Amino acid sequence: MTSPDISVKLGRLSLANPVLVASGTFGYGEEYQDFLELKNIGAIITKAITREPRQGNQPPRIVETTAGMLNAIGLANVGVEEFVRHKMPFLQDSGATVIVNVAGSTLEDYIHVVDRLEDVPGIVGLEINVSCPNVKQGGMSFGVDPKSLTEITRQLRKRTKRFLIIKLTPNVTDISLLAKCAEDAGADCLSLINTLSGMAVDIQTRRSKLANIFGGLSGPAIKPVALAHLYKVRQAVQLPLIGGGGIMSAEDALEFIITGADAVCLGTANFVDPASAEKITAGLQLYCEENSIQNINLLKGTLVC
Amino acid sequence: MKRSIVARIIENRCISGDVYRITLHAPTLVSSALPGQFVQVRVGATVQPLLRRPFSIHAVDVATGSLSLLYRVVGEGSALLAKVPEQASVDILGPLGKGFPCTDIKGTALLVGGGMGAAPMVFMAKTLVAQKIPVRFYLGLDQKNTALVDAFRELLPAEGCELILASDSKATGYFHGFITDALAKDLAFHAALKNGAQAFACGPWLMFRSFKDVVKHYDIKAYLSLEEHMACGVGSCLGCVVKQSNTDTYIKVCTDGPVVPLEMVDLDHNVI
Repeated sequence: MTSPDISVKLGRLSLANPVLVASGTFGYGEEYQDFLELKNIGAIITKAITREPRQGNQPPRIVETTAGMLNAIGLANVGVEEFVRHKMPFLQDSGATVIVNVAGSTLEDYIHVVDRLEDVPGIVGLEINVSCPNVKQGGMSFGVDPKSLTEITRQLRKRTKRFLIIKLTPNVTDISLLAKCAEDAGADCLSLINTLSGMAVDIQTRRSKLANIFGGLSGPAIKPVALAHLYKVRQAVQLPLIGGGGIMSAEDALEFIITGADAVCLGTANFVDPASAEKITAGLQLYCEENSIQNINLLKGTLVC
Repeated sequence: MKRSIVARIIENRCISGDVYRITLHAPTLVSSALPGQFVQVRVGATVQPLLRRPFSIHAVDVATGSLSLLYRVVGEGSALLAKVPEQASVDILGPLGKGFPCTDIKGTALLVGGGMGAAPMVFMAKTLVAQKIPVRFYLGLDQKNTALVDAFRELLPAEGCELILASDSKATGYFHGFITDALAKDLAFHAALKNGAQAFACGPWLMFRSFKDVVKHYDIKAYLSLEEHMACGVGSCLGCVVKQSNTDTYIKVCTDGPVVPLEMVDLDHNVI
């Protein structure tokens, strides 16, 4: 048998393999250059880029929890100007497949960043981080409100020809509804899930362990929630889906692929083992070989129910 | 490529109370390690606890390709590490971070370690003595601890490194008081000590403030080795940040540090 084909197509975006690394867990790529070959990763989703540089929240910003962690980094990033001038050149030279994550506080912020990135070479797509509070809607995040989500997707769809991924938040009552809104408004792809809202308490000091009180939970603890959301979204839309949430191994990744993900996204796994993307890709390849699966797409959405 | 390695444990023993020393066979890591750098250790085989634990490199032995970490059992991760038997293996990633600058020291190197903060100073002391730079190693403890002091002496160079002990409680052979007071006293008594000296501190935040007062008074170039909770250890998660002085910006302990010039850190802002 020839080597299994693990390349995937997410609609009009072709990737060499279905393993991506999540925004906020891989910096701007350069941080990992010593640990694995960046050009072999299916795609690198950069840290969220905002219009202006952001320092992020006061520490403590991270805390380990049972089989997971909370983060309240606060979208700390160098801002779009610095990103284009000083972070993109490295990524362009590395040959990596790059998706830029975009964040903002107002629709205008997102538009500014998307416009600025439009002619920058070396970017195959944009992932829109709609988990940010919409300050013009009282701080409610774009991604929890169908109207806001529709509006932001529609507006960005008008502005850019780029492959547009909407990253869904799980902190909603009905993720299928939000998924349909994004599809109807012109998204090319959906990625899910972002982190779950959580907190932790220090019983000695009786204080919240995060200065921000709330943080996003990630890691193995959230995998069951991520899979359930993926299942619901898969039933609701036709769009290609990037699934993630607690993936630490090829076996975990397969659960998402079988449930219907076209590609998978690793996040916290990168903190535990910087070479996770490489190892999990190899694991998927091996699984296909051992099970005589010629093409990984044959596994996709094969959940029996 | 810097890969995580599975290193065999040569020794993992209790030195005193809750303080342990683990020695690992890791020749490739040892060959590139610099004083002040750290390693990220997977303390468990499963996802609980999830994250690696950072430990400063206590000492290396290039001849045997071994590396030692000195650690205190403070929580779940360190407790698990203490239970790993000799001849078993541990997954470690490193060496990571910016170490102590060991060149360009014209006078004496003043190494100040508060408690477990003294751990990375041993590697530093050996490196400096090998470069013929005189070392004064100030080790501050809560109370007299012969076993721990002996464990330090075992690894410190026999010549060229003077060990000064300080303890919060009265004990023979120990300066009674803060380790930074012991340093201040020496600088006051020996006028020439400050000439060309550089000072390095690692320990509790409050110790950094006293350390700053002393080195500023004598106009001595100084560095801190910082410690914060970490997730990635490689500069991507942005979790281990500490506020920089005179700006609203943060520095990452894992990649901008752990060793940074004293004046870079806002010692008033970060309160533990």
